[in-house]
Amino acid sequence: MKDQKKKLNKRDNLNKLNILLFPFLAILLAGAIYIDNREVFANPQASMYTYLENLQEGRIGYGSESTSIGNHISFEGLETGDIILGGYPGCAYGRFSHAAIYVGNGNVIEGYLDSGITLNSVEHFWDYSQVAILRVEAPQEVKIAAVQYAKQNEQDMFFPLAFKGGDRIWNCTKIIWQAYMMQGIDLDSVGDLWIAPDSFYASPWVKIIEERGALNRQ
Amino acid sequence: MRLYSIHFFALIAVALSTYFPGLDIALAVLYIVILGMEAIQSNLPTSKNIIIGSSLQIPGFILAIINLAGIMQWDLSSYALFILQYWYIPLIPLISLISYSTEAGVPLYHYILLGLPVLMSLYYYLTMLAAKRIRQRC
Repeated sequence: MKDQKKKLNKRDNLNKLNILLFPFLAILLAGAIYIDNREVFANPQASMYTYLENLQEGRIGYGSESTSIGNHISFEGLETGDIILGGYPGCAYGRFSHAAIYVGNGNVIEGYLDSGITLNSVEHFWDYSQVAILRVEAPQEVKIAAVQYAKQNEQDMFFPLAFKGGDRIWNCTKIIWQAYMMQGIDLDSVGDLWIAPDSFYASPWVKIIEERGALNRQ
Repeated sequence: MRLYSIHFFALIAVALSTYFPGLDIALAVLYIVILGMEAIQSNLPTSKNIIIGSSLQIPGFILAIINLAGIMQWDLSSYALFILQYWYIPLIPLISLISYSTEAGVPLYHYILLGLPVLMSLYYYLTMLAAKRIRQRC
C-alpha cells in the first residue's frame, strides 16, 4: 500500500515536471538573452522593432513577389565576395529581404527555406524591385576566404530566426555575416540579435556599387 | 491538450536555446525524452493513445500535405513549409545536424521535415506499445 502510494507520488511529480520544465526553461532563456542584449533591446533601430513597425503597417514576411516589377541591374562588374541584396514590395524586414554572396562564374551562395544554403545563378536578382550590389572594402584574399567559408556550409539548414551564434542553422544574411566575421570583418551595422539585409547596406565596411528601386518602399 | 502544452512551450524554449549553440541540441533531446515519457506513463487504451499521439501531429500533417500538393495560390505551398519548420522547432536542432543534399539538389532535411508528422506519430505509438508490453511482462 505504501509502495503504491510512493509510486503514485513519483508519477505525479514526473507529470508535473513534464508540463512545467519547458515553460521554466523558456523564461530562464528569455531572461538570459535579454540580459546579454540589453543594448539591443534599448536600440529603436533594432531589426525586431523595424519588423514590428512594418507588421503594424500590414507588411508581412519577405513581401509580395507577384507585385514586384523587377529591375535591369547589370551583374557584369561583379567581383568575388560582393554582396547582392534584393527586396520585394511590402517586405517587413526593411528595404531588402534577401542577401547573397557572389562566388564567381555568375553564381551566388544564398539561403532559402526549401533548399538550405545553396549555389544559384545570380540572375534571379532581376526579379526584385529593390536591388543593390555591395562591395566589401577588404583585400581580395579576405573575400576569397569568406566565399570559401560560405561554400563549406552549402546544404546546411536554413532557419529564418537563426541567431548569430553557431554554425548549423543559417538564414540568408547570417551565412554572409559569419563568412566575413571569420575574416575579422563585422558587417552588422546595427549590432542586433539577427542581421537584416539592410544592416549590410548601412555597414561602413561596404561600398554601394550599384542599386535600383525607389528608396521609399511600396 | 497536455501534449500540445508541452509542445508549445518546448517550441519557445528550443527557439530561444538556439541563441546558445549546443544547448539547443540538449533541449531537443529533452523534448523527445519527455514526449516518450508521456507515452510511457499513459494508462489509456491503445486506440485512445494512438489518437492522442497522432493529434499532436495534425498541424504537421496538414502543412506537409499542403506543401506536397504544391498549391501555388497565394504561395500557399511555400508558406506551409515555412510554418511547418516553425511547428517542428523542438526538433530543428537535431535535423540541423544533417548536412546532406540529395541528387536533386534538395537538402535531406527538407524531406525529413515533411516526414516528421509520420515519424513522430510512430515514435509516440511505438514507445507507448513497448512500455505496455514491458508492464504486461512484469
